[in-house]
Amino acid sequence: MEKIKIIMDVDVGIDDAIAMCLALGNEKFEVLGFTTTFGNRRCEVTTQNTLKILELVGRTDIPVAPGAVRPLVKEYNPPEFSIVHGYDGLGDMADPLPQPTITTCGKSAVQFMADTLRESDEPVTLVPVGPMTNVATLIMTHPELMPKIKEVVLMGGSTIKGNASPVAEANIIQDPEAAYILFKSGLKIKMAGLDATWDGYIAFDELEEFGKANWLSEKIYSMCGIYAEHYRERMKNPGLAMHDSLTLAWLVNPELVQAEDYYVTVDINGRYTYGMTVTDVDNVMKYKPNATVAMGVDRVPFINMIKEAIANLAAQKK
Amino acid sequence: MSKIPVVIDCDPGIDDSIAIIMLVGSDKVDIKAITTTHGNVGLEGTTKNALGLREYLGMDCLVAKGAAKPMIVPLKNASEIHGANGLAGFELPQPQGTFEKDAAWDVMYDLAKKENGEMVLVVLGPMTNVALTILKYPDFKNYVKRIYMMGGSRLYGNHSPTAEFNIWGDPHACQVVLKSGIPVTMADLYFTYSNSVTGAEMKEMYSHAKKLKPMMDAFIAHDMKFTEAVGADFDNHKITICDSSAAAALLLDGDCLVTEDYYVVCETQSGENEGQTVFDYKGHLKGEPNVQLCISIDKEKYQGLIRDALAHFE
Repeated sequence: MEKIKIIMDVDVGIDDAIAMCLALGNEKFEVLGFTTTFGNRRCEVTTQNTLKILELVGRTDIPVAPGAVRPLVKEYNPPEFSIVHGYDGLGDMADPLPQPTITTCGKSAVQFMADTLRESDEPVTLVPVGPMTNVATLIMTHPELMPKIKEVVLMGGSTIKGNASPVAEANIIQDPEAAYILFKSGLKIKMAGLDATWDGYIAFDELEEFGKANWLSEKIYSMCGIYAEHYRERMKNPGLAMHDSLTLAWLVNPELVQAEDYYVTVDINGRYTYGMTVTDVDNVMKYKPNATVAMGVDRVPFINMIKEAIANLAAQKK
Repeated sequence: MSKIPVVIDCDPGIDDSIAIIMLVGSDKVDIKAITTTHGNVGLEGTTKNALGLREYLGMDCLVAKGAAKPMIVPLKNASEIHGANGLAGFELPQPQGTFEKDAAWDVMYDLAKKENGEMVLVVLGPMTNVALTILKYPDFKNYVKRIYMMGGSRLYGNHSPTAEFNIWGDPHACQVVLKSGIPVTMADLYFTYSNSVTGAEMKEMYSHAKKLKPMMDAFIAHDMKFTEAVGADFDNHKITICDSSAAAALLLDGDCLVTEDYYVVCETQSGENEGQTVFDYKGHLKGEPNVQLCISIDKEKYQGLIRDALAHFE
């Protein structure tokens, strides 16, 4: 079977941790490495969390390269506490994951991406699921490697409603200029934004069931306490949105996602709409589409794909 | 005293050339590399000029090619001021060497890392290359002692009502640099104005050139054309050799350079004021000072640097 070679750019993060498990537990993927960014927490924390998850699932062979510690241009004032991911970014479990014994690979995220692309025989898919800072920096510093990028499948954006402002999604608003550079780059882009990811949830009762499936799902279940509370109490959602995982599920099975080609740009000047992925749904501006935008998802097969990957990983390491 | 290791990031450029001549002619600095950027003319032109200058000035340093365009804003240039080739039409010798295989940001990072935190950057064009080095290498900031830059303005602009050309050329890059934590000494537009010379003074300074006389003659002829176009008398007309002020700031730091500390940010989100360097004079933004703004240098010493540097090339 031909595998999909990916580099995942993460800001771990609870849904990032689950997406990492999907990437590592689904046989369709060959994960070349994880690069990290600030986002859900500071980069120091998301990097440690990435290492912790790899150690948890026994995949310490995969390189991790630390990346952006702040957005390209905009101010960076991270909150002391994330109401979605907790202090430690992994739900502040009663029995937290141990400090990792493995370390990062000695290259910065952008160096790692550039070297990996250069050395790869075939084009590689980039899967950024945090702010687009690392990808934008790669685009600016390595124009010669753009042909080596097969496509960029990102979690971020929304055609109309936001979760971090009335109109902006969290990954994009944390570095609008970086996202602007990505959408202007000419790279092939798939955007898994809130239009679809809100609907890609694991229902609360399904979560209870899932928590008993295997040792890894048990661990993830205990990680999800604060994340579940966020969706139940504040978002009034029927379940926990698996935002970051949708990128990967879309790659494995394109049929799962209802998608449209649109012209997308990012507002980098607005007072109220800064960080919005402005999507020309009715092609008013008459520009050629530059992104394929996820507008819906078949929830049940999507959630099942995540569960199966986690079961696979759990079986590989007792 | 050991020499200061320097990388010159520039878009030569007439005034860039004068700044480079001043630095080559000084025994205070050791130039490790010239890195090139879009700016006065396009990247191909500025890189060709950098290679030509290295040859013409007999420099022993790397030349590395940088960014062809700004981070986000559209590409601009100032060839109407510098002539189509960026050097008043003066043709430098065909260079023997070529530029490094690695890009400006990789070369700058590697060199800075070797110098144990002593590296100084002299930045004479849009700040794209420095910004990209900071972004690609999060630890770069620890290896740079100080940036001496020509750009920005404490007051009005020269390419928009409020923006100076180099910063207007890549406002986002300037903001990346100002936020990086690297100490900056800024030769802003008003500092460069304060160092303006009359046409007569320019002729006198440039008369000390020996080997470089043909280039200086071309520069003077170019400035004379501009002066004539505005109907002014060349000898009494004030001419600003912008980038030379950044070189002078470095060479006269600790001597007669007077500076004031400010917290400075660069506007990136306003159409009208894009590229304005906003000086927080009254502390509204509550930031720690990140810029030493150049206020003055001794006029005789400044002109002496140019005179002596030109005489240095036999």
